[in-house]
Amino acid sequence: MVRIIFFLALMITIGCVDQIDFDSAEEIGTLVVDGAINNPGGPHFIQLSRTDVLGKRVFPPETGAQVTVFDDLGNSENYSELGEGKYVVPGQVIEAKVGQSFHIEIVLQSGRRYRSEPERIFPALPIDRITYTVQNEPLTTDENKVLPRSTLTISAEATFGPDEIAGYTRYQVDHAFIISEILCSPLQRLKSCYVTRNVQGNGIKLLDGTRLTPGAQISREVATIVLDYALGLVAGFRVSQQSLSRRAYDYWTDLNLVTNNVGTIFDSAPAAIRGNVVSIDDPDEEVLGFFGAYAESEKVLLITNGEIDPEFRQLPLCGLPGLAPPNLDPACCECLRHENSRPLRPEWWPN
Amino acid sequence: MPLLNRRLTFSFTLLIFWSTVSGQINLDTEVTGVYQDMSVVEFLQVMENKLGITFYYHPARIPYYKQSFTFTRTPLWKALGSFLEGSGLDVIKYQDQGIVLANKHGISREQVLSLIQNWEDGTFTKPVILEPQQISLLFGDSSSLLRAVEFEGTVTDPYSGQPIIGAIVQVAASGLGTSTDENGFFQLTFPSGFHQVAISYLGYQSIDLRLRIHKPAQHDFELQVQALNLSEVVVEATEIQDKVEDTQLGVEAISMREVRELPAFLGEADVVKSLERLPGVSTAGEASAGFNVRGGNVDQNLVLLDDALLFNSSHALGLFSIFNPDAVRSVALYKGNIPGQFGGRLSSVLQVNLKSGNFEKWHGSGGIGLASSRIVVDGPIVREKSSLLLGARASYSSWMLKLLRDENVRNSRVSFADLVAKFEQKIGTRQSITATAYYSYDLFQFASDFGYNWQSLIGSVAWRFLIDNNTSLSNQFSIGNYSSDQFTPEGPESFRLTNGIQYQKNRTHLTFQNKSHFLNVGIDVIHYQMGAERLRPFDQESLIDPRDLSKNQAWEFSGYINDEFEISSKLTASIGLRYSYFLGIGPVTRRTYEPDRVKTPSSVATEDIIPKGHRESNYAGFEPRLAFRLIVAPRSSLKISYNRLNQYIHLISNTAAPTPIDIWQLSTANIAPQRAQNFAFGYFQNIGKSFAYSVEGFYKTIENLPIPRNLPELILNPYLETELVPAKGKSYGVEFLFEKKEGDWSGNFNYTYSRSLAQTTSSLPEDIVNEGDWFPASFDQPHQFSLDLKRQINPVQSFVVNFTYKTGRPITVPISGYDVTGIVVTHFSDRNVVRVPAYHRLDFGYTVDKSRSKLKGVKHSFSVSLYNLYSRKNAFSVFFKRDSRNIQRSYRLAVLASAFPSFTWNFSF
Repeated sequence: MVRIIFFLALMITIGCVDQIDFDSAEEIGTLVVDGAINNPGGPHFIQLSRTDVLGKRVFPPETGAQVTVFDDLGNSENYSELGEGKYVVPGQVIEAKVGQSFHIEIVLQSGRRYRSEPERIFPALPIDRITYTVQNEPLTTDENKVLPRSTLTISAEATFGPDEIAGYTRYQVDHAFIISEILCSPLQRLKSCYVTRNVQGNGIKLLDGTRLTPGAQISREVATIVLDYALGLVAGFRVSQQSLSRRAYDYWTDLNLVTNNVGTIFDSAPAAIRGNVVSIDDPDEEVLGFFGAYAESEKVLLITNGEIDPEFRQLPLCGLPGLAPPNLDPACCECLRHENSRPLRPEWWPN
Repeated sequence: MPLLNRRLTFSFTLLIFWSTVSGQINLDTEVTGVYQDMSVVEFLQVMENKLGITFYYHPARIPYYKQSFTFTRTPLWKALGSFLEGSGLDVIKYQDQGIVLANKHGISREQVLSLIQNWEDGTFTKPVILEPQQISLLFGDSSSLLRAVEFEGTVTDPYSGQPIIGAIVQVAASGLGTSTDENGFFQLTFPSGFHQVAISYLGYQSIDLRLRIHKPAQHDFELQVQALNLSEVVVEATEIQDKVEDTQLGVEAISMREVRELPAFLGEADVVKSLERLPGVSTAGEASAGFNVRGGNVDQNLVLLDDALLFNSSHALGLFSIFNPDAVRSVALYKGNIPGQFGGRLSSVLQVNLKSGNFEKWHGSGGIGLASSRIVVDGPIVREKSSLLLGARASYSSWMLKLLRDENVRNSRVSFADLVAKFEQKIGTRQSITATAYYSYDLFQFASDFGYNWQSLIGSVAWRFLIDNNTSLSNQFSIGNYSSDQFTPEGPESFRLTNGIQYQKNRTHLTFQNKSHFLNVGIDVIHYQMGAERLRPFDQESLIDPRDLSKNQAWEFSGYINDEFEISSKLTASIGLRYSYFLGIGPVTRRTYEPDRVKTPSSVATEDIIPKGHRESNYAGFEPRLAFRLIVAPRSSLKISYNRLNQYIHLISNTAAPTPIDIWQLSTANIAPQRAQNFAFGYFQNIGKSFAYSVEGFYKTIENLPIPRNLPELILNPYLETELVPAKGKSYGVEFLFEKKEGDWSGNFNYTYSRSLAQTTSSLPEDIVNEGDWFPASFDQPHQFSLDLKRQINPVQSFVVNFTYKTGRPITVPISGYDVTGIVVTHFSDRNVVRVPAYHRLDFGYTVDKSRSKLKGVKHSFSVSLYNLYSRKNAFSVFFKRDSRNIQRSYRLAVLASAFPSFTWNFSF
């Protein structure tokens, strides 16, 4: 009997997730507005683009537009086009001050006009410190193979005053690391490069401080990366805490819901996300994206390979001196060949 | 005898009309002789042989119990009248062809002609007489001085456990008798001493009871189904006839025997899952709480357990239902005409009644399955006076999770339990008090990431008073509490969020039933108290700030009257009227919003704090319930109904399918009640002895449908109304059912076409979904069909095959992508524009029921089932995410993606 039950149990599999082909009616070409007033001294950027077919990572820019930002004191300032749908305003007239509200107006080459709803800047929550933890986290592949893996998790700590309400916060993390060339030819002049990596794949990290006890100290995990050669020498993380309005918090929450939907019965039904930009000429026209206004606080953490527990230490991309790996990465001879590599420090990297 | 005389006078009026052509058959022919232990059919056979008269009658309408009479020069009409007393049949002479025994309510020329035609074409033949079951009972002793005693009890079907309504209980000597009421209950009063009592019902083996009674007594009887023991007996299956003759439209009575025999997931016999094979009933998927009826939302079903309200009928996220099948006596689903005695929901009423404990001796039954085990015991506390039923069910399904490879799944828990108790006390011979308690508990936890638990607790006390044999009065007071939690057990933001609803309900109900009316009158009062949403830190490590969001309370008052009666021999009506009044009360904040602006916290125009007990909002409405049945031919009927219904409580949900943690919300000044108008019609026809088919259609419109806006925030939101957009709904469809109820092979095939659509009604762009067009509800599945086949190999063994097909449910899909601050975001379509692949599944079940062998001691049965035989990966939902190369892919989540074998052992003692 026990054998029978065990055999039956083996046949049982709870659930299944698999890929299917799915026909859907694609619709592209919707205007997307993505920008903010956030830098006290300027400049401020905005990106105009269009939606494109699924699977694309680069999207058609909207060029030739006139973009103007207004504050609630009646000031305005025009953006200049940098190319590829990117526009910049120096911030000489418009100052990103806490308590002020801002909105933009856009006139496309076609003459169509758009306007964002006003957004007010709230004070940002200061960061006390940034910490990290390292742990083993084996990876189970789609073929159910278990591979060894270690991860590094960055956390931001902040303390609220006993009478302070934390408000709404979005965490942004920038990550870069150093790779150093090895001697590949006698005439080579060895140099180092700074490689930036996108950690947005971790999802949008938000905090609804209105739900937390005043005076509490909170540690929030803001990014997790897989340990690899990025930690072979020095890796840097900049964490910023951006103050959001309730409206902006709702927008980013919706974006998070849609990007992290895994299809369980408890997931919200997905939907198109309304931003705060509308068409002046045709209120029924769908416009995506958000024009925000926020203050931010930031801190930077550099982690050297030596700081990490020996159990988790990684080799640099190009190996230890004298021990060049057999399959030498071309970037070891010319570090600028590495994707997203620059010879200069990122602007946030400490001297 | 005055009643009989009146009836015969009426018959002779007809007889005069029909006798004008010929007078060869003389009903005044005198009969003399002793007719001992003879049934009506036997007496007719004797008369046929003796007098050469042909008798025409419906074999399924003729009494089978035996009687004894001595006639001395008694006219034939009077002798027949003696044998037919209490049967509801009249004697009609039809021209020179013979004598017709016809229903006193159905004497029409068409019916008589049809009856004769059925005999002449061989559709009707003389029935085989089954010997009645002999039972002897003794109560008290002859020294008792009581001169008159009362004898009462119930008559039930032993296989379904359901009461037999209308069974005839007749004292042979006096001819006095009664019939059982809607609960299978009967009561007789006669002198103490010895009596022969016959208990009979169409299609069942009669009981000849030899009763020596010297004190008031009670005994429950079970009638064996004749059809099981006879081959080709001309006794029509009552269920087939009922559908044609029943006034109610769209009522489905579920036999618990059928529920047990259906192949079920992990062998768990399931009341709610068995509903899914009925036309017009569906669910969004395996793991979906509740069920949808005729395009209605899950919250539009009124679920009653012994008349107490239940707010969730699901265990294990919807994989099982909360009813312990061994404790359930009867299940009925009203999906068409909803009589006036029910209200508060728009789409259906699921009425589940628990068994009462046995008053004579202790019984037990139970089952052991792969996922759970159950037991029910019942018996007398004071013999013949009070009884108790106790039931329990508990799962141990977590052991299956431990067998799986994924560590998170291994560390997860799924468990449920339910308890039921029912006590009944008889007070004298005409009153009883019943107390019922029910508790169910569920826990689902995924590793240390998140979890849910939910529980229902209801209790009720009912007093029933049989005023006379036609009238009963009852009063029931019930209370209920449904609560659900979701929690994150670890981390600085670990929390527990609780919500729920409590109620207290009182129902005073009077039933009057005579030969031509079935009247229900009553008053319902319900007090709802929505539990505050409570956010609490999960443990001391948590930094979550406790928060409460109090909710409103309300009273719902309803009065109703509903009568079923005959307008003519062919036309029957069920006419009802319900009036409901809803009063929302404080403490609560009542808000008004600026006109022509989207409702948001910033568009609040006024805010009033409504003190405790004061009026926050009120709504009222008359709810007419009309249904008519027209017999268009002896074996077919046409039915039509119109209902208007109000619903003051709503389930607010925006998940892929309803979940046990969704919020129940009462109507407020800003959330108007849902109101529906429901039209339904149906044509029902029996073909031959065991086939039947029906076609039913419905069209329903709904006002004030609460549709969540896109990506709403529903939790801990004091401005919940701002997350709902004004909308209306409609659903319509046609259901076709073909069934064969008898024979070695039986089963049914049904097909349903139904649509369920919604449309936002606001003129504000922010409140418009899908450009203001009609869009399908997430459970809209236009085409559904199912096929059930059962083979009764012998009285002990049977197997069942079930196939189900449903159109895939609609979902919202990605249509493009875009970039926001380096994040590639998926842009989604309008709501519910594309469908997941169709759902279909084949199940197989095999049952060996040793209990029918009537072995001594413990009876048992076992069933083996295979659920989802060909391992169809039915998509519960489709979702979209990027793969390791950051390319958007579509994925299908199938909740039960494999064939699930199971084995269940059931026992009774």
